[in-house]
Amino acid sequence: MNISNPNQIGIFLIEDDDIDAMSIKREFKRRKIANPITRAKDGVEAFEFLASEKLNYPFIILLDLQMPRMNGLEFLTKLRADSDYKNSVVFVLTTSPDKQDIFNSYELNIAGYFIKDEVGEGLIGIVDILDGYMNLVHLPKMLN
Amino acid sequence: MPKRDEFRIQILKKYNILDSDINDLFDDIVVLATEGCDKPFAMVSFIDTDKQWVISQVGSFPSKIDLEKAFCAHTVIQTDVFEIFDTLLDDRTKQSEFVLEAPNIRYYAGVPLINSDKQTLGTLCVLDTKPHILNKHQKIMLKLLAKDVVSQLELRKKNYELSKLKDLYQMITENNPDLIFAKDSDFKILHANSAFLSLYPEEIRDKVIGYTTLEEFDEQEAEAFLVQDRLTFEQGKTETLEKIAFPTGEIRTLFTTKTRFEDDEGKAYILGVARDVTEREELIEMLKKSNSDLDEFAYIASHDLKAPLNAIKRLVSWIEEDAGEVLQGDSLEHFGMIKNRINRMNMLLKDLLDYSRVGKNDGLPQKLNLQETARHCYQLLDLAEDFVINVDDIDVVLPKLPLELVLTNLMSNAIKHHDKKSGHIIIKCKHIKNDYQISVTDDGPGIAPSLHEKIFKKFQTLKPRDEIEGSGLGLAMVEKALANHSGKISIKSDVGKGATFVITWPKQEATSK
Repeated sequence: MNISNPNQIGIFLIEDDDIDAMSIKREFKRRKIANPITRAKDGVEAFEFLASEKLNYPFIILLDLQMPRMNGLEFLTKLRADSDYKNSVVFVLTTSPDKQDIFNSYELNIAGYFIKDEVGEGLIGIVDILDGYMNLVHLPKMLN
Repeated sequence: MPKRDEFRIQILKKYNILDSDINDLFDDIVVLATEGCDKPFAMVSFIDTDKQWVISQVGSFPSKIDLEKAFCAHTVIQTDVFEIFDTLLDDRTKQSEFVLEAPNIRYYAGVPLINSDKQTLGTLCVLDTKPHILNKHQKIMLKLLAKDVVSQLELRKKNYELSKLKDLYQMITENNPDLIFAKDSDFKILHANSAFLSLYPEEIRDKVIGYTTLEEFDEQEAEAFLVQDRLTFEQGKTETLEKIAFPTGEIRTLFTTKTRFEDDEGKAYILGVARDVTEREELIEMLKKSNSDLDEFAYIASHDLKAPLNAIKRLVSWIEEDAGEVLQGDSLEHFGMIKNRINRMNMLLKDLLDYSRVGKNDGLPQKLNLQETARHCYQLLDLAEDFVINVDDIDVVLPKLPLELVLTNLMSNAIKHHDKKSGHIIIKCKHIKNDYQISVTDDGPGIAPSLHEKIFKKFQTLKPRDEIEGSGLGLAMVEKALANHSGKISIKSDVGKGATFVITWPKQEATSK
């Protein structure tokens, strides 16, 4: 098995709620998962980060849907049209169980749709999956 | 004089005899009387206390005669044919000016005019210048003619009363705000009151009676009228609530009742009465909207309030994880109270959310076993206490969700508010006419009658929430769920005697198994 160096994969968390962001960071910390996490507060800030050199590691995106300025679906649409980042791996992590949201997200080629419960207790399982995923996955290399 | 005129006017009024047609009214009869009795003179008169009023006559007698001089004064005090065979030989008449002067009357025969109320109105009489005697046939004829005078008068009176009644009905119809109309079997409008007519523009109002007016309406609307009309001819009676765009451009909501009726020849017609309920329907619409706004508000508010509360909950649990050991004494106790209040707030919001959702997705009535349903609800309550639940093994046809909500809340209340760790709940169901009567009885501490009204109020709890956790929405929710299905709940209880909640739930048609 060809295992890539987990240290090289990080998480780009796009989430407007501080506590939700903290919950994820906390869970990573508690599990001693060392992969770096960078957080943007909405789609607009996320694109600012992508344009800057802030993310200097390969990453998977963990995307909330309900956000101010540019929401998750708008971000995804713009991302898939972006020549540099159109192939990014995106997981949606949201409180919305709405069928239309799920459908629309997969239409934009997400890798998975997770529903976080309001109390944040389901997060453990999700972090498990992300941990395993990051350990084993091969991401497309940047071609530039 | 006014008194006499009054009498005359009264009679004329009563029998609707107008001054203009009064003179020839009984002309035929007086002519018949002269010919039948073979006498030169005859007259019909009304008689009051001191005058005789001649209405029709053959002859040239004055139109009013003082009663003391009138022969007829003797006729009206009896009921049969009154004859004076020779006026010169009769003490009552021999001094009369009609006898001594022209026309020198020698013979008189009169019949009183007696109406159906046994009132004597006047006389029909014949007179001659020679002494005479009427034969039997002439007497009978005179009586018949007198009867005919009275019948004519009575007929006029009835006609007059009828026309008055018709005027009254006309007035009622015309002043009725409801639209009243009649149609024949060709859907032509035969009659319409002014409320109905006012829905047409003034320039076509004379083209309503005798027309179907269907071309004035939208094709679909016109077709809907016809469908309803045909149905009325078939079934005899129909009712519809319809929104109609009238030719004036006004859009009104009408509640229309159409009734079939038939004329003497068996021809069928429709009587329509349409009540304008536009304002009422608008109010209902507004109420519905404001209710749904309120529901939506409760839903959104409770949902949005939950998010920060959950954030607090997480933060508190992190503090506990990170620095729990630092907390001691009062602080530890206060920390526990924070967590407790968070849970209470959560429960309040959850119940508020549930309350706002009551009745949203009740589903259709279905056949349910009451025992199984209650057992299922009890299991979901997931309580530590050991309670015995006895439920009638009976099938009911009710919507599942509200039934579960009602049973769950009532059982949960019975257990939560019980003064002992174990107890007994009995659930019974009876069929009472078109209702189910479901009763939930517990052997708990009971509730004082003075508090019975209070317990159904929103956010009302009988004990501090620190003693028994509860949002105070449970029974309010039960009441709301029942109200959505026209059901009711009441309580029978007293302190120390347990409590029985009695639910009356109208039966509904089963739509699925």
